[in-house]
Amino acid sequence: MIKLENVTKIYKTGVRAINNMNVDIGPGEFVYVIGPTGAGKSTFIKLLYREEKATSGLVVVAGKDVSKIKNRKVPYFRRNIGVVFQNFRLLPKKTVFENVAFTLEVTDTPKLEIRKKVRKTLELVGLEDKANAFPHELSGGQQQRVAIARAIVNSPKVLIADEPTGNLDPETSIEIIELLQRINEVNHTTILVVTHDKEIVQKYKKRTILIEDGCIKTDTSTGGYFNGTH
Amino acid sequence: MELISCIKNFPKHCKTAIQNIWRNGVMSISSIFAVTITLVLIAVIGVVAINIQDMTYDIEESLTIYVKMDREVKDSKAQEIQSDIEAIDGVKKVTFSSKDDELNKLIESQNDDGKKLFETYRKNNPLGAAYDVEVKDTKQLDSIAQKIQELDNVNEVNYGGESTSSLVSSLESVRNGGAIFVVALTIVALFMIANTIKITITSRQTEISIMRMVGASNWYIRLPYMLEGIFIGIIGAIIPVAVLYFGYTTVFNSAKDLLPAIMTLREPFPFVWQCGGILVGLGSGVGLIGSFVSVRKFLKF
Repeated sequence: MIKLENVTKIYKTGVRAINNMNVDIGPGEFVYVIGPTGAGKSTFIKLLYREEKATSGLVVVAGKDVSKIKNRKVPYFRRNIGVVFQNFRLLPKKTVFENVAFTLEVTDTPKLEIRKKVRKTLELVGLEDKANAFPHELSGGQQQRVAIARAIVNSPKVLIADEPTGNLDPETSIEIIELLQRINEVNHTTILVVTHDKEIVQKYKKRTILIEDGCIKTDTSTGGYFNGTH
Repeated sequence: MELISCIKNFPKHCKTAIQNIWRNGVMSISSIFAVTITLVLIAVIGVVAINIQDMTYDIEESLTIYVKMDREVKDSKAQEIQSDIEAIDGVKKVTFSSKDDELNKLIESQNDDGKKLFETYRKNNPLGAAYDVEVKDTKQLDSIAQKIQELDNVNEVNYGGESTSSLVSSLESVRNGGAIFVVALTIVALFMIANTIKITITSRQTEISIMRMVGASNWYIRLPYMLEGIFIGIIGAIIPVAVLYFGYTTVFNSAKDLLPAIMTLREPFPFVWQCGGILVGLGSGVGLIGSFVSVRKFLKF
């Protein structure tokens, strides 16, 4: 589902963020991406949803060679990927329902279908009774659920969560991770969770990739080990 | 494909645009105010400038060359040079006035005593015939007058001399100055509107980045903003058009009594509607372009 081959990313400032990286993530996998700040985690996921272009190497996501996508076509490519951010990034002037529905509206989905899908997704994340609330009326955990609902409502193949629990307290964080796991099990979505939260990584053991200095230091799936003390 | 989607979603985009204006409250109001104030300014100055221009043209129109023929020349003989005058480059219209006409004009301009006095000259008219010559460009008054002077039997040519020439050139500079002022003001005003819209859109940068995140195509993002700009322009033009309508008709009606006859204002209708149309067009056009340009900045990959 996600494949990087000899990928290097050098920013215009000369910073070498990703250095000859190779990864292969299969469909339906649940993967943690961990590492110290400045290690290249953010650049890694930005390469996946084409916010940045690789300087060299091959990035394939959902069967598409990402660097070959024309600028004009990027929006269409992004419909295959759901992204969740640390700061939720909801549209502040739209209600919960409208926020989730927006993903479907941009793809010209019929109204009836939008309503059906949004309702079903809100049920999945446990917010069916907040459909008409505005984001600022919700708690952080609830806002993150809305963001997740928005990311998965069009059944993307890949869901990328960039520090989804970074702004949340430990209990809410656990709820969010459990929700992501449920999505992984129910929808078989490939899920990538970038996190700093050691407790979570240790509590719910999954494949874990440690990025350091723009390289993959350890990958639990390829026999690497992870001691949780990086 | 993208175009079809845009057209199909047009009503929805309109709804979104109106919703955005409503939900952005203060930001929308500040944009609308910017449009209103600048358009009122443009309207007032523009209308004043147009009227001053009209007046200067009227004044120039009334500037003619008065050609007096020799007294002893008969009307029939005097009329012979009409074609010569008409042949001069830059002459628009030549009106002949016979000896009797001249006397009538003189008598009419006198008071009762004078009328009686000059009436006695009927039998033995001492006045010569005359021509009233209108020119195409008042700057040529001088040179045309000189050419007429050289014709046969012309006694005197009068066009006001130096003072008329300087009047013409000052009218011209008033006109040009006014036009430059209006154009400059319009450009400044338009930049101001575009800038305000830019600020309101910049504050929504995250909104745009989120839309892109979930896979909205560029036109899908852009269209509601552009419509929003147009609507803000139109709403902002309401007050200026009203000010123009009521203000100008009021001024026009009171000016009829106050101003001297040569300084007439332009008839309010359809003038007010033409200006109003221009204002609405300016407002919505600038709104459209302003939002198009500001959104474009955030749509680059």
